[in-house]
Amino acid sequence: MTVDFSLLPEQAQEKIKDLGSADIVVGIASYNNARTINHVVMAVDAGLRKYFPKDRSVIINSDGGSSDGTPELVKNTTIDHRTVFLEHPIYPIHRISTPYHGIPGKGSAFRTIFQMAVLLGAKACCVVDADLRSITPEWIELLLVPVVKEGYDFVAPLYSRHKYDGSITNSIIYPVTRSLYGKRIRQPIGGEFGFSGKLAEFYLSQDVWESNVARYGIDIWMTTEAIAGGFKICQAYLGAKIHDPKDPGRDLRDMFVQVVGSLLTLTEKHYNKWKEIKGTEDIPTFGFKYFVGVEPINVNIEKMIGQFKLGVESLKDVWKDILDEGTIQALAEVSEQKIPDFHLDNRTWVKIIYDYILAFHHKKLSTEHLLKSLIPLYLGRTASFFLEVGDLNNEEAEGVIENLCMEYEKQKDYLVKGW
Amino acid sequence: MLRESILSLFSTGYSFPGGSFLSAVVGPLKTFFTNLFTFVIYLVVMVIILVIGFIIASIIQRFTLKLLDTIGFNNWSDKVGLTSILQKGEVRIPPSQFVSLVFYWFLVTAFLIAGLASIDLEMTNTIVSVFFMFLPRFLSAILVLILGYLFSSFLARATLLAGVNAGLKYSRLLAEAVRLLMLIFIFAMALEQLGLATGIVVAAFSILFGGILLALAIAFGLGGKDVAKKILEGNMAKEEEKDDIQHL
Repeated sequence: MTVDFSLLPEQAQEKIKDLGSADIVVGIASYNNARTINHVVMAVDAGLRKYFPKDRSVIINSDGGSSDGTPELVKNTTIDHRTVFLEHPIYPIHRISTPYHGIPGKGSAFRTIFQMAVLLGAKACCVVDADLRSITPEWIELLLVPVVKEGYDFVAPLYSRHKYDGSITNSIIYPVTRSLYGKRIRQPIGGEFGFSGKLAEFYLSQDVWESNVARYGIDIWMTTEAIAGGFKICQAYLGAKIHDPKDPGRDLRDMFVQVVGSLLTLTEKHYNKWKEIKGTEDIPTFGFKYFVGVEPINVNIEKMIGQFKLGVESLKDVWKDILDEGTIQALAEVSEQKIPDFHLDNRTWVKIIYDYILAFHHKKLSTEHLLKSLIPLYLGRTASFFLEVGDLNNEEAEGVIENLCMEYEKQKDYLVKGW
Repeated sequence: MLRESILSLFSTGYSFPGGSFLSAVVGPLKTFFTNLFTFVIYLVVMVIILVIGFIIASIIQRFTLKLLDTIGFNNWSDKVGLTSILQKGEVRIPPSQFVSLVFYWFLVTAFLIAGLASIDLEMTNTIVSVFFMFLPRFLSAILVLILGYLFSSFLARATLLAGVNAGLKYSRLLAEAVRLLMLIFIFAMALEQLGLATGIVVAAFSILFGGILLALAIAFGLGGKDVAKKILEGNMAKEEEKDDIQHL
């Protein structure tokens, strides 16, 4: 495959010409992550030196125009390796920090990383978030070893997360992906992935870089394309995932539209593949699962329910083009419930999501309006889940998510028949 | 006496302008019948044109209907709200059928006008010239109304969704206000397009639109200052209640 050099910024082109080739590429997409980037680069550097001392490795920071000195920190971060390693790596680990071209977003940053990986001829790559506080050198081993030594093409992350964390993942992305494609990938939009050079080439050959994939839709796109493309996939247990406190710029509405919009587009694209799939199966899991404490999370359930109720009051006219009368009636009844008893059941929720997928397929509304009309329902469902698992431990909460997944699988025929 | 006078007319050889008495009677009759014959021929031509028009309109209606059904026009109409506009106007047939009927009657009217032109009378000629002069304005006004309505619906829905997702309790009211303002604006544009009392339309629109905006500004500025204060205070208080959920 030929990669157009001109798509890369000049400084990146120069660096690639200097380096010539690399075995391993680790990508870090960043935007104003000065508080955490130091730690992430140190962990990645240490991971490469410790677990891949004989490989030529490059760390690529694809930056979205940070104004807080993130790129400088990537270049200048140092680690005293004498205290960590007995053996020195054969090759020095190069670091490249480059801005990316295209639509501002995580996906465009990843595209630059894919381009550079392909140009360098890397056999294995991985990407990690720049705002991680819990990353360790072992993450690099876990994400890359299945590719380098076991021949896998795609490694999804598996984390210990707080039961309230990852609510879009838990209520929509994971169960829909699992039900449609039959693979139990627990964190399809985890943010950290390992992948082969072959898969990077495949990603790069797709014409999606002007869509939501260029933004937050990149994660679900990478996972789904790896499954649908028949690549060899697995997951690796990385431990706890702890982020830097939330960036206020990461607005829920935009993230929701981008991520769920990508999911719907992929569902449309791969209909012929998922319609035949019955049941689900586990995928190989690497890493040693251990109990890990997670940070407590503050939630404002009252506010979420308030937004759900406002949606029920105001959006009936919009919903009647998407949902049937029975579902709208059920939602009206839920909105009458007071907080301790507030409950949006699995059956109704799954039917809502499948009806939204069908509405997208039948083009009943503009995509943005369709997805924005789902947000109040999502908040209602999330509040209901929080109330349901409030007194449960994380494992028991996982059981509640498992029941939801079973409901998605049970109703899959409804989706296929309604297509 | 009278009898004599009449007989004298024949006997004295009184000459009528243009010939004899017989020719004086036959001449106008001949002209009349010639004109009548010409008119009947024109009428027949007009009827033939009209019949051809009905046939062509019918063929084009069927073709349009098939084409619209093939390209999924009805689904698109459902999506953009055209179906609901038609239903509000008590039109119970599918949008594709409605559009094909509009084509049909438009073509029939056009052929009728063409037929009238063939009669070549002053009155029909005036009708024909007025029709063709007014047609482009009429069509563009209809287009402005249809596109404007669709755009106002889209904008109202966007306002509603943005308001609900921002937690504004009066989102519906806001969306309806946006729709109303847009419809007033579009209606004024369509009237101006038709060229009907342009000056009055522009003046009325300016007064109405300006008045509404002024009223809103005064209402927000004076009547709503306490509400605005409460909203701002509420938002500031809510800042402290923000949750830490990572949605992804």
